[in-house]
Amino acid sequence: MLDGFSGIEFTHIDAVATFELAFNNGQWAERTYSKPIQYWNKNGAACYYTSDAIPGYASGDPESCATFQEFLDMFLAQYRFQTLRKAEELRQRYEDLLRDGRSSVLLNGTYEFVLDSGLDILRGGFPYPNYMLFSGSLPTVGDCLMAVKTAVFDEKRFTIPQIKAALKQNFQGFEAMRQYLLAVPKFGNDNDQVDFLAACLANHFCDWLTEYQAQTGFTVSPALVGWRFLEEAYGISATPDGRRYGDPIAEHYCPTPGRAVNGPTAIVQSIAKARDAIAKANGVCAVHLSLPRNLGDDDEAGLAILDALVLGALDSGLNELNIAIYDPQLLRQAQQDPEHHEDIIVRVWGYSARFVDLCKEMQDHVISRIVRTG
Amino acid sequence: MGHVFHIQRFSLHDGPGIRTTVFFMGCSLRCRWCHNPEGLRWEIALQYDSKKCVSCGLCAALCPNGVHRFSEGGVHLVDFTRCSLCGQCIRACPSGALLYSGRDYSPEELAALCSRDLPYYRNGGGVTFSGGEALLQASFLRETAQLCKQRGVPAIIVDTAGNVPWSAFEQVLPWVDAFLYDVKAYHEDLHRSATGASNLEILENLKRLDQTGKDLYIRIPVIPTVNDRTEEIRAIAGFLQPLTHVRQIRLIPYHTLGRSKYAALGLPEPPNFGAVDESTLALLEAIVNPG
Ligand code: SF4
Ligand code: SF4
Repeated sequence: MLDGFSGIEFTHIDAVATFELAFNNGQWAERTYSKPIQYWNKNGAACYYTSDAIPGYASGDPESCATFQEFLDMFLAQYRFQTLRKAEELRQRYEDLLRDGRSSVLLNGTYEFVLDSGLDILRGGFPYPNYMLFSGSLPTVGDCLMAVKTAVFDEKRFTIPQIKAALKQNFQGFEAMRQYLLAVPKFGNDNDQVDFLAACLANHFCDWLTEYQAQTGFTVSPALVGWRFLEEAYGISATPDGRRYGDPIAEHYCPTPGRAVNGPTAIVQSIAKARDAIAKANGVCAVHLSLPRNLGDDDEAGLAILDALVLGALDSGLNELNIAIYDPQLLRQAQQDPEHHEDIIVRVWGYSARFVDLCKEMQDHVISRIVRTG
Repeated sequence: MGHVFHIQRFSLHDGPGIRTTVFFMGCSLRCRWCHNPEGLRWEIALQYDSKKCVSCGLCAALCPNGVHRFSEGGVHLVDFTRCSLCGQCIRACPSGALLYSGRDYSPEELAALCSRDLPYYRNGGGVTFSGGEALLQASFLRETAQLCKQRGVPAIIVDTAGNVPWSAFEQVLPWVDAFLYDVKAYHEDLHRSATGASNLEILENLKRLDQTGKDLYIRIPVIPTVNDRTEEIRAIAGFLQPLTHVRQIRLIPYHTLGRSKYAALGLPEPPNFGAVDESTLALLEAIVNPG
């Protein structure tokens, strides 16, 4: 097996980092704070993370915007730039692989198509596009855009320089502003305005990749998925949605953890507003729902509720729903007393892990995304 | 127009399935343990959440009636009685610490909100109208319930304490599938001292409701030192026994959630009845649900 030579490639683009770049005309925000974190595993070494979005593309000075639409267009310009840059990176990678000519026999050999045609993935033995670009966390970007729209353009409560000053201090000394920003509607509550903002970003992302294919002949499939939500949270500054540095950002196309307060049905309805984009992404949109225990008075009632939730989500146009049920109190106990809770397995991203093995930051993330129910 | 203080989606404890529960304002009882004080009055009022206040002083500067003051030590004092609900401080408060305790809805608007979870109203799920006392706004409830039905909401439940004229039930009956019915005490004097009102009409309404054939879910709050004695619960169970449409009887043990809401509304702190102990609860449970 040749690791890294499967011929299947994917990479991703940091959407919230892209927002930070757009908010600062292509540069990283000034900030007075930074913290190294361990990644995934508590035994790993702690280090500082930086985003893999790149600064330097001047998408325009947000302070010059007279309307929210202009502001949104600036963000879209930055997001498009980062998207196409990543698509190019994938194409480059593909060409390098082709030139190198090697590919993993073992991995290729696991595909029937490859065995039937006698051609490996690199040389067209696999009929599906196998280069993918992930863009997760769009709901957090939707929250940021909605906050700027409300605070700066609709209600004119704060100016962009004022918000930047607050972000620079991680909202220290700006708690009133932060509370105001937190009260702006957030993705995941079935609020049409913010949900459609996020859906619009997802749509654009998919469309750009379609255009890219038309122009270059190289197919990069869009996916509304993201796996760097934890490093992102520590790799970028505080954000205008009221999120402090290090507070979780959205994974995949799910709400920002802790911000969906109307329960799981509202979350699914929010996500379902992007069903056009989800279809363009060939259904590759991971939806993770962490629910608390005791959904019903007894097991039978709980099952009836889960059943209604899943069927309702299907009817609303979702084709993937990843449900996990946790007891937040038990997880907090496990943080305090890992020795007696080594058996707890939690869903992390595309995989599951022992809760006590995760770093503190990831543990907090797992707890904070448990949906509150009434 | 109706007055509503909260709409809760994915509500799982107000009837079967996934439900949206609408909390109406106004109540004709004054239970000493009430955990939804926003529902006591029909009038919308000022609500102040001290946890969110950042002491910016804007409200004090704006209020024409001197409702907001700051003590020497910087403590924010609110004189709710002087508020004319002009809304200035609520609009200006940067942190969302000041709110209206509820708002007006038209039946159309409310029915539209109640229909947002239509895809999930399966397995008995639907909409629950609760409160406060939902039946104090019976004609608004009827219109809203009718619109919900037209939009396809399968199961509509009214959560009531029953202290309303029978005519209120009659108004809503055609559009309601089931009732959650609170029974707080059987003995009238106890009911009076605990809730401020007689229960004669409440029990009479429950009997009549049973004859309509609607499903009944009975709920009995268990309040230490008030009604947690076996004789009282046995008397309630005895009263319920001959009823033919009772689907479920549930004991709801007293809890202290909601106590902080009193201060937010400028209401005096309610008594704390303490926790119901497990053994008492088991004993009472065996009375209402033998076997
Ligand atoms: S609503 Fe008006 S009267 Fe009431 S406290 Fe606020 S500013 Fe004063
Ligand atoms: S305006 Fe709001 S945050 Fe400021 S002092 Fe009044 S209640 Fe507190």
